[in-house]
Amino acid sequence: MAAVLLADKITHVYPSEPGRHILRDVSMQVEQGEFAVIVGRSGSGKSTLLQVLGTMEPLQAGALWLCGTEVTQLKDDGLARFRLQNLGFVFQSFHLIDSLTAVENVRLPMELARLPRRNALTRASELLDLVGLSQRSRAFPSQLSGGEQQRVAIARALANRPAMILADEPTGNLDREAADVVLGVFEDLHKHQQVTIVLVTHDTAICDRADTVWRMEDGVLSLARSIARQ
Amino acid sequence: MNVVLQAERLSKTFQTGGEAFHAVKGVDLQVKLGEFIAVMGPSGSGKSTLLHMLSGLERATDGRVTICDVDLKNCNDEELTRLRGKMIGFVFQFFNLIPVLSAYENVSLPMLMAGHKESAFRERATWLLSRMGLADHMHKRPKELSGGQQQRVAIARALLPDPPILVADEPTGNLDTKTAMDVLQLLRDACREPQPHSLVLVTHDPRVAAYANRVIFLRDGEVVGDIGNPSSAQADGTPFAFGRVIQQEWEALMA
Amino acid sequence: MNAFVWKLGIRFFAARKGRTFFSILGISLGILLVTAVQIVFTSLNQSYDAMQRQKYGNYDVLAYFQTDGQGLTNQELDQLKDIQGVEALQPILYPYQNRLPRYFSDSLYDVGLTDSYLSRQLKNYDIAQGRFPLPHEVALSPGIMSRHHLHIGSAIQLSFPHRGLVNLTVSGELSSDSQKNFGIAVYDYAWLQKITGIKQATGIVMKLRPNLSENRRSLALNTFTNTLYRWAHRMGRTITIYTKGQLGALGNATNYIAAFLPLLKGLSVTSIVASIYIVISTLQISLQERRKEYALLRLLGVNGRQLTGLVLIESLLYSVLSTLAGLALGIGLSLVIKTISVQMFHVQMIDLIISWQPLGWIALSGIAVMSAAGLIPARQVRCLSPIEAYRSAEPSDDQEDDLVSAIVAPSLILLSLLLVVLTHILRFHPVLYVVGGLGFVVGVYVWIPSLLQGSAWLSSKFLRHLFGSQILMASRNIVRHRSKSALCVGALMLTILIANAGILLLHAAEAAETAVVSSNFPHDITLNSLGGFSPALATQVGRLKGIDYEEFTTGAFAQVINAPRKNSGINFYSAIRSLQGTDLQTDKRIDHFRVVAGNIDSRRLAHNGVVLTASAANVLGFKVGDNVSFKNPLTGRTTNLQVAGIIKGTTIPFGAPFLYTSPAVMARDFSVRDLQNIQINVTTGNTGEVLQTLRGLLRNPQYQNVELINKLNEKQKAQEAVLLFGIVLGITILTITVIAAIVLMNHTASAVRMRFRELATLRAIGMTKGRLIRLILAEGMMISTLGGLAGTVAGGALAYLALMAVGHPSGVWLLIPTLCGSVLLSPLLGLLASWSAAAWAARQEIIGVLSDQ
Repeated sequence: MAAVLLADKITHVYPSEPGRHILRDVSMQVEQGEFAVIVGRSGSGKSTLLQVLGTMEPLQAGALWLCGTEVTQLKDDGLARFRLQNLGFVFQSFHLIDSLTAVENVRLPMELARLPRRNALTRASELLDLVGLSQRSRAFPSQLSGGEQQRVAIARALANRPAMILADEPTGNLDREAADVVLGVFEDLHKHQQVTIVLVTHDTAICDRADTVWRMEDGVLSLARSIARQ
Repeated sequence: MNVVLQAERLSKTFQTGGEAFHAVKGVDLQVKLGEFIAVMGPSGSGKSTLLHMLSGLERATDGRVTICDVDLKNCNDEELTRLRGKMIGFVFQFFNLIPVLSAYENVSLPMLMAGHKESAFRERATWLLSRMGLADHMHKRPKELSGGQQQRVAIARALLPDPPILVADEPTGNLDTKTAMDVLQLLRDACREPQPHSLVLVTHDPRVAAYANRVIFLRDGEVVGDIGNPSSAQADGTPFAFGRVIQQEWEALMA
Repeated sequence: MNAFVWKLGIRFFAARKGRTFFSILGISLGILLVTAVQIVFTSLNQSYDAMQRQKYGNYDVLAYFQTDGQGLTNQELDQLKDIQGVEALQPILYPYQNRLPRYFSDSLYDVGLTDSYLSRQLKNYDIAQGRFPLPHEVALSPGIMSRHHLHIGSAIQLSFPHRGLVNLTVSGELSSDSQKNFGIAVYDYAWLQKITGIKQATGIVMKLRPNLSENRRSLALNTFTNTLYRWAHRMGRTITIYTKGQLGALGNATNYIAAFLPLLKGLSVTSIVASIYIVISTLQISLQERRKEYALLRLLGVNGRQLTGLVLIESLLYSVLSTLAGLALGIGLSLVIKTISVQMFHVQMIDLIISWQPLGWIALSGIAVMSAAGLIPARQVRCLSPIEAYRSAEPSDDQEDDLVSAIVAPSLILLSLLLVVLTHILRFHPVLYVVGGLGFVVGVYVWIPSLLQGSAWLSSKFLRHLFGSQILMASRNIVRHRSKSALCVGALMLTILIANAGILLLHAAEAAETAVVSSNFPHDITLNSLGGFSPALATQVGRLKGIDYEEFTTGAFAQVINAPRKNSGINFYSAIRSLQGTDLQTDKRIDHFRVVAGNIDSRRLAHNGVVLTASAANVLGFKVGDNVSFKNPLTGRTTNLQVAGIIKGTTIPFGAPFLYTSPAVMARDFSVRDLQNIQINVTTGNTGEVLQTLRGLLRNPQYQNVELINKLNEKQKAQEAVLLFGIVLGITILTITVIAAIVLMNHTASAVRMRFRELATLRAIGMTKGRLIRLILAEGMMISTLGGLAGTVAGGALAYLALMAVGHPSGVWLLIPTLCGSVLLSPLLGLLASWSAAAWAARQEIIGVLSDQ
């Protein structure tokens, strides 16, 4: 199967603290349809890794291929377009657009990609259905609970049929129940939709649901367990 | 030892739209001088709201909070403000410092605003900052300091007026492991020397809670557990043992 | 206040350099305008005064007897000096009135003057070289000097009647040959009295105290001249009195400009209001951005007073810096205006006068008012709860305000429209049009928040399909922060309103000036003197070719002896001696009046009829049909005239005579022969040549008090004034537009910073920088377009109604360019104002923000 993500010896430092390596020679690989979890404590560098993998943070050293493209060749608007077509993001703080309703939030990436309106509407409703929120499609984020917002965010991430979903502590701000529901959605997407997911968390319990578990400690990434590669 | 902070049947209800949300339900709590208490709970357990009420930032819907025998219900906003300035030191997870002031100025801020002369506390402020390892960074602005350094400035600021109570909300959430351990050690030491202080710290991380004398578990606004640190008599040593106990207790409660 | 609070306040203020700079610039614009207007107009007024004094001499009254006879005794001179308001008085001796000049082949005109400041003000006798003559000395005109090869120190002999030849030394030379045919000889007054044996003064020159109020000045002048008239007619002599105020009354552009001064002051006050607007908006924005910091301070124990102090420190810093900047820039702008006026429009302005006292007042009041404006945002800070330090979401606007906006505003608009309609149909007082207009404007302003919501709805339905999600997000954001957006919309509305008002005023001013010129100068050239001049001038004028002319006699000193009302006010005294002979039906000098009673038929007047102005009738107590008895002091005869009619006039020039009869009656019963006015129309002749000849005729010292007024000249001066007003108006409008732009710029800059996380999210999920920029520009443009539309509608309506109130509704067509321009340019303004915020947002890095809580 094709590798959706290929990272080779990525190193990263904060400009203000050049002595401190946030990422040290990180290499990893994610296959299509894989559910990979990166586990680490706060401050281990896992969030930075996700930002680098998601092309939001420019690469300082090493190489990164996403969907066969070496993303270091892309800049600014090119990167933006790449992200739009190929990546979907789910953040710890949901980061929905407050001035748009749930369905409008889900439609947003499709509109940015200039999808015809009718198609966008259809797909958005489908996606909200998928995450179990078709009843709340016209609600604004301020009217939704944390768990509901996160599910809308997941639907949004799926809008343009991305090659990969990147999730940064998606359950970090949720209570146990909501966290369960959200994780269930991820599992569903993985099992039934064959969506490739890379999820970063400090919660070890999530690992049970994943195919591959990577451990991040003080900037060093190591493979902990891999179902796919057994 | 005397009780510096007491909560009786403390409750907080939020009205959102037409629905009532009970963030905190009837919590009883007593904090003695010198105690380091961790309040643990998952997101949405009400631990932050509880902390706000204990420190006079939010008014309880029901129940009572007493700080050094002063019932907060009897205080108006200005009195609460003054009380906070004198009795409570704050450390949060983010945004502790005023960006336009240097580290030293940030530390001096509460006392200067309360009317104290700089000459009266300059020595102590300098000592505190050195104790935090920031002697060379006193005149730097927050943006020139790392996250850990900023937290330490915040702790120095909290300690300067020597308040009986310190309150911390996930103070190490933004820090890497090593820095977090340093900060927690500092906090624990601050509880004991040279004067005793009480510390109420809110966290979701068992390893953080392990530094405390006592851990209170909060779920859905109610206290569901209260365990003491068996090795609290020992001042030093890494709290791994207690940490494991906490972890087990936590998982049991959350299951 | 705690020194640390000051330190913190100053640090807060200095934290956002770029935007602080622009805000200060914006705020300073109001002060700038007030300063510039103050300086320019003080300088103009002073220049005007100085020029008057320079051109015509620094005195107020020049009087002399035109016929031989008794003069004014020293006792009488003292009495005149004692009149309240008189500062100085000097006698003049013209020993030989109307005598044929004698000596030399040239003629010589003798004048005896005292060696005094006042005498030196008489331009015709100005001694340029040498010195004032002592006894046995004389100063002569340059023509005489050169023709007879005389120089200073030469000895000459002059002959005086009853004296024979007298030896004299030439002590000085006059500055010019003030007239062609005569030479002038100036002697020491006392010495000339001895030589000629004439012990009394035959003329006087008088100056009033300088800082008299308008009223006191009039009173003093009137008392003085009336006394002279009384005495003159007692003596049976005619006296010519020339008061300087009349000459050059309309002779200078600066006088037209002075009429605009109140309007310009009003305009500049409006700019101050705009400045206050921007202070409040700037402070509110900076408070919003520092919400968390203020909440943190609250949390740490800073009390409400100290927080208020922080806000006030910031407003104080803004106001002090802006005021200083405004003063400095205002002085600079005055220089620019002066240069433009002097070089392009030939307005005479000597120097800029920067008087520190009024400027000091402007500065202090500016600082005080703007600092106090900080109290409004300060109140909001006091209400901050410390929990805000934790919150990341920004507060949205209240729902409560919406009710006010949604209900009060449309009601107000409807009521105003109703009022206007009713006023039109039922013919109420026209001022109600304006009231309705103002109500409409206020209604639109209050309605803005609802209009913003309406535009959100509109864009979600229609514009969306054209512009995509961006426009939806932009409009929803505007609605979320309605009150701040409303501030920007309001600023633009104000700008357009003022622009419209200003342009209307400009056109009105232009029309008014043109009307004044036309009505005051219905003829091409006017020779005028209120004191009167000899009819010989008319004969001389009559000899000119290619012109038409009309002559008008002076008034008569005819005492009304049977006035039912007895009253000693100025008007009364004027009324009883202001009998004028003219044909009211054809006299173009008296225009725009209406007959309120009786009639003004000239034949009726010729048969012992008299017409009174309404004020004369009021003052004296006469009505139509009454008998008015006049006494002629010269002859002692009584004449009875019957009141034929009463008129009420809007333009009655040059001192407002109150009673009119026919010229025939004047000549017959009052022996009036002197002329007051000759109106000349150039028909086939050459205007330039005519003017030159006339000016030559006027060099005769007999006609010293006659003024030549050239209509073309006046027209030009009036237009210069209008142009200058237009420049200042343009600058004001520009200033206020810039202020509105800065308000919008601050708003978008702040909005972008507060929504930083949201913008980062958009970039993260794949929005390109270009689209992000367009999103922010869309917000700015929508706000400014709404402002433009609201302003155009409200401004246009108000202007139209104001025009209806004054009876010229068609004038609204003048505003069409402005209104269209406002609508078309307002989106552009929004584009420009939000550009920097958009560029800033696009430059920022995405990450870091997203992992923060």
